[in-house]
Amino acid sequence: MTRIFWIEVRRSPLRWVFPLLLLVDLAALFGRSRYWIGVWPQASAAAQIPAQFIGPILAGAAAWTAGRINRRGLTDQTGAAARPMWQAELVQFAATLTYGAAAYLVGIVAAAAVTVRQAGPGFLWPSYLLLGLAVIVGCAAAGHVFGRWSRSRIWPPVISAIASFLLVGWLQESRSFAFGVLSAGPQLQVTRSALEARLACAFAVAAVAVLVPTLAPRARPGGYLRPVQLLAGGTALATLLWALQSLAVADPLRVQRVAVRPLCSTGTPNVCLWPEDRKYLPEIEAMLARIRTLPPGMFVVPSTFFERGLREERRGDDDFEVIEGSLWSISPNFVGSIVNATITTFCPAADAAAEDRRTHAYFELDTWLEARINGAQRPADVHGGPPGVDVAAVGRLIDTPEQQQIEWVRQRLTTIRETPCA
Amino acid sequence: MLERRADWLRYARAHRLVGTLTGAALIAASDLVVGAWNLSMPAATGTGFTVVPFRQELPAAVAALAVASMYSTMENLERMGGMRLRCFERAHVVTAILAAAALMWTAEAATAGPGPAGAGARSALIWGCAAVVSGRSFGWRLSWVLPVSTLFPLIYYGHGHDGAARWWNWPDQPANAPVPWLLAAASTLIAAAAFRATPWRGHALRRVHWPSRLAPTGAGRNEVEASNDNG
Repeated sequence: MTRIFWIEVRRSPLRWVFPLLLLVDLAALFGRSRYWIGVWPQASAAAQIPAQFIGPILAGAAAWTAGRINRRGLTDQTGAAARPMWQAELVQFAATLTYGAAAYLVGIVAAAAVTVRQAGPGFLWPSYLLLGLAVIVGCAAAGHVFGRWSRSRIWPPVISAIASFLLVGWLQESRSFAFGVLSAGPQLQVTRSALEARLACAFAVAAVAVLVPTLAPRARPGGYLRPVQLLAGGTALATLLWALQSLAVADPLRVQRVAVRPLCSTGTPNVCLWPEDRKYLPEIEAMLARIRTLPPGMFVVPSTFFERGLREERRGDDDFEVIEGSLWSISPNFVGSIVNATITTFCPAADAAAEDRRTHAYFELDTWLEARINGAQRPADVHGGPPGVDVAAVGRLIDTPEQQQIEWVRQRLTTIRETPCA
Repeated sequence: MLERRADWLRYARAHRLVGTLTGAALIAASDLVVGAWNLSMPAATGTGFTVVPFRQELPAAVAALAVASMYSTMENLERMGGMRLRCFERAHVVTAILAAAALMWTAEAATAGPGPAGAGARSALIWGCAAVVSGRSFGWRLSWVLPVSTLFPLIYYGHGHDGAARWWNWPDQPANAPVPWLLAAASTLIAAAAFRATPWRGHALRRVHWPSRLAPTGAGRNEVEASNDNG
């Protein structure tokens, strides 16, 4: 069997497709943003992403490969072979899968290699990698089964490729049936039942691909169906139905991760991160250092800033989350915590004009604090911002003498505190 | 004239024209259902993904299938066909591409209106030409290879950092955008050249320019078998 397997691997038309698979894998891994490098869960999701492109290509190639018996008109000869048909199918499918999995594995190794230096202890999360494997196995199996069942010489590859592409992309839109993720974070984890259901679906399609004989007698090696073939095929189909049902009742693909012992910096204020996000610590510590230089006596700074998910939701409204690796994205949460701790009383304003004045003062204060904490003006690729605030002008303020800034801030704080209540 | 029609019917039967074009029509008709499905795929954009409606990719399948009807079970014999067969093939490939474009136009006009209809027909034209190049290179059965291969770069790299379609991303451009029509014209020229690049023309070219590279006997036969041995 092993010898036959290696012959299949050597002779498979997939050997011509393999460079394309490899190219697509590495392009899909490194062609997008690079912020995932250095964070294990992010790197795992990134390594899984190429599967969504490799899968459909593999489906087309598998359909082409599996159609060889019909294409070459060898149906009767294979039916007369000494070995049962499913063994031939299994070996051929295994060879196809070997090429797909090998390309996928190269991407995984590359993702791990570029991540290991910055990320520290830990490794790629197997859950995301298995999710990608489910896509690859499922697509290859779907292509194989269509290529084997159809007597057409041109349809199966193109239909398999385009249809699996459609299915993978479309299911991605749905929360409960998605087979892949587009990004990840340390605060999320893949649920066990969802992962198992997806793997079950993929391997059930693989069982169908190997075991279920085609209904068209002329395309079927051996001509008639033996009871054992019917039994095996029926079992495979039943397994597929069970797997689809388990997918329907499984948990959502990802849930909030159970909190772990956080990685906390020293000093006051300090920050507590998910350990996987440790590569951001030096930059966040620089932000904390800038927070310590805020004008004394004007602001109340919380003693610890938490990354989202590390403590219960109720207390963590202003907990930060590093979005797409941008540390600018966490400064609004820092600002929110500081402003909320500084101004603890709040009442509805007496009239609309006073309300507007107060809101504007809040917005300007937020903008100034963001710039101070980042030690820079807002970068050009960050869009949006509070309405009615000249972000650039407030950003320039941080370069003016400290006394001038204190005066400016005091005005805003006074506006907020002295807003007449209704 | 009657004889000519009988030839046509025989040609159509050998190429399973009716079956293939019916299939292509069915796939185009599936646009009514799946055309509006949004696919969210990873992409090199600012957000890391892009959402494309499937109607933009469907013409690739329709065009690839229509052109794949150039394959016949007598492919090897047809490689040596004479003027008459060449004439049929020329009419066939032009009809196949135009039929794909017309099918996409009709399906899109019925589901999404005249604007997307023009874009869909244009996409079918471009992918049909790509299918001709692919069919000439790898054999007509594999005419889907090039059209399907374009999907990855189009989807993954087809949008800029801000998510706007790049100029060469023809499926995601409106029907009145000029660049995709230029692409369509260019791909028509390339496809015409590829269609003319028959094995015997290549052979003749080599005989004139590199006579030493030709094996003394049986070179043509080996070439046909080698290029047909991709399954």
